[in-house]
Amino acid sequence: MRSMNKKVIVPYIFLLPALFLWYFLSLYPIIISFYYSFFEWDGFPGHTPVFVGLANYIDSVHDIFFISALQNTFIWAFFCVVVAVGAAIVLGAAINFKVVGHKFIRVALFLPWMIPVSSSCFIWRYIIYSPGGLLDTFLKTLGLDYLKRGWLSEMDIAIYMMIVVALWVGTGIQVLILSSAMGNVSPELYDSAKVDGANLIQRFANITLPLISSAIMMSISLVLCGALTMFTYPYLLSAGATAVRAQFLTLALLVYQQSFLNFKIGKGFATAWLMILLEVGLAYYYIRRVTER
Amino acid sequence: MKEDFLRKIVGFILIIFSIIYLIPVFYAINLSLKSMNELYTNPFGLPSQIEWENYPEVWRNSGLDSAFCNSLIVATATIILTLTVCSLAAYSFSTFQFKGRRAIFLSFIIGLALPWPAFLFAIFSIMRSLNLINNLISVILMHTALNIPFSILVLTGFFATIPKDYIDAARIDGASELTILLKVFLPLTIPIMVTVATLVFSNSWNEFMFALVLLQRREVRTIPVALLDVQMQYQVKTNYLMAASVIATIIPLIIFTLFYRRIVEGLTVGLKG
Repeated sequence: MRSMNKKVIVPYIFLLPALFLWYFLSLYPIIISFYYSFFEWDGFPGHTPVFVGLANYIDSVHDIFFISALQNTFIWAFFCVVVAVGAAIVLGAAINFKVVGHKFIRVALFLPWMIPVSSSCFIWRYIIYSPGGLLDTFLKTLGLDYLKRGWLSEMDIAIYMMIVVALWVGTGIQVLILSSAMGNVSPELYDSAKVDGANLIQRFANITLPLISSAIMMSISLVLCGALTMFTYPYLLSAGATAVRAQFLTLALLVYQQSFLNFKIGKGFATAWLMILLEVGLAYYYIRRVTER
Repeated sequence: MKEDFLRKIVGFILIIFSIIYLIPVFYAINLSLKSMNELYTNPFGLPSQIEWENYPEVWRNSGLDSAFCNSLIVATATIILTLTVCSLAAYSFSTFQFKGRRAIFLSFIIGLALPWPAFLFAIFSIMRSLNLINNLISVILMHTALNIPFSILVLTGFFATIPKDYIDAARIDGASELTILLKVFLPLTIPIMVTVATLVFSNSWNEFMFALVLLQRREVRTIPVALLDVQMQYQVKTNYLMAASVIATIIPLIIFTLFYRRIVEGLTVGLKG
């Protein structure tokens, strides 16, 4: 009898350290942020939070920066998904087609991912933004001077510059993921299609794409997930300025600004929960995917 | 034969594209070896005289050396902690049937989609109440949390492929579960452990947000945030900033060269789902 009891407990004992760390560092912050989103609080331990109901949420939606942050976040998510995953499908296909130098190509595209993000952002800031930087000089040599803009200062162009940097860093890993998914497709399928006279494009569209559709979905959700909560690139590309400028604002950065710079903790949490709503759909997707197995 | 021709043409185009893709890297290395003057007089050509001194200068005078040590400590501790708790958990998920197994597993996996910036202040205030602000432990804990979901996913997937016979044989011999994990599983799973360790390392070495908020004193900063200090200190002396950026990339680059194959494999195993 005693050994029976022991057997029942053993699996939980093995789980205990991970469970403790994980729930303490994820679930607990989730609860805290939800609870205090209904309070007005400046974040100092000695000051008592005051219950204000839904006021923070209303305040948060009416924040002058909320709409532009939301807009930037969506632009960011849209372009990151379309370009990174689209490019990864094309480049992954080329790599799997075993084009000349395919190993080099894969490594070269992946390399930026290993560089610390702050380094990448500083390098790109210098390229884009310095007077006489690489980008402006390049345009000048081509005689395209008139295209010159305040790349990181003008509202409508800054977000796209940040997207370029994020794509430069992140596309390689999507290429890796999709090219290895394509590599797992069994070669016999291609051979028999070849015998039937299917050309390259037909083989790709009718065999490869359907078989890697779940890997593509995985890739899309990974990129979306990062893009919807983007913090690091906008923070670093605005040079770590203490005042975050509107052209760089994403929802995550707005949350940071409200809680760490304006000391409006409740409002920051309310904005955070509005951001979380965007992510809930994604979480649902992961759960369904894992349950399918 | 038509396809062979296509392979050459497309390959050639993509090789050119890859080299263009890496221009920012060459550009940064080139800048890091120039004198302040040459940044303006000769911004794109190779340096007329290579200024190796830029490197020792930033290493010694901008706190990069201590940041480098801090980053190494954080990354190493994160790897050890993550691998320990996650392999214990993965062993449980892959070898036992128990009540709530699926629900608990999902509660870890959902973390892949967790919007961490939303909880930044909550985490900050938890760490503050534990007196862990400006203590590397806070960042080690957070980096571990960040890496738990995918580590458990990858390790559980891999552990499940180990034949049940091995476990049964060991159990009949009277081995305890912990002995089985250490003596039977560990030797068989070293490749995947290395893969996970590599990914955890680069996640931790590059992590910016938590390091920014939780480590506010200069002496405890890790590399990604210390680079901000370097920028503040040298302002327009971009040659120094680039030298610092290159130094920050050295360790990830070594890891990348040594374990590239493992990283590719790990992503395939982990994300195949």
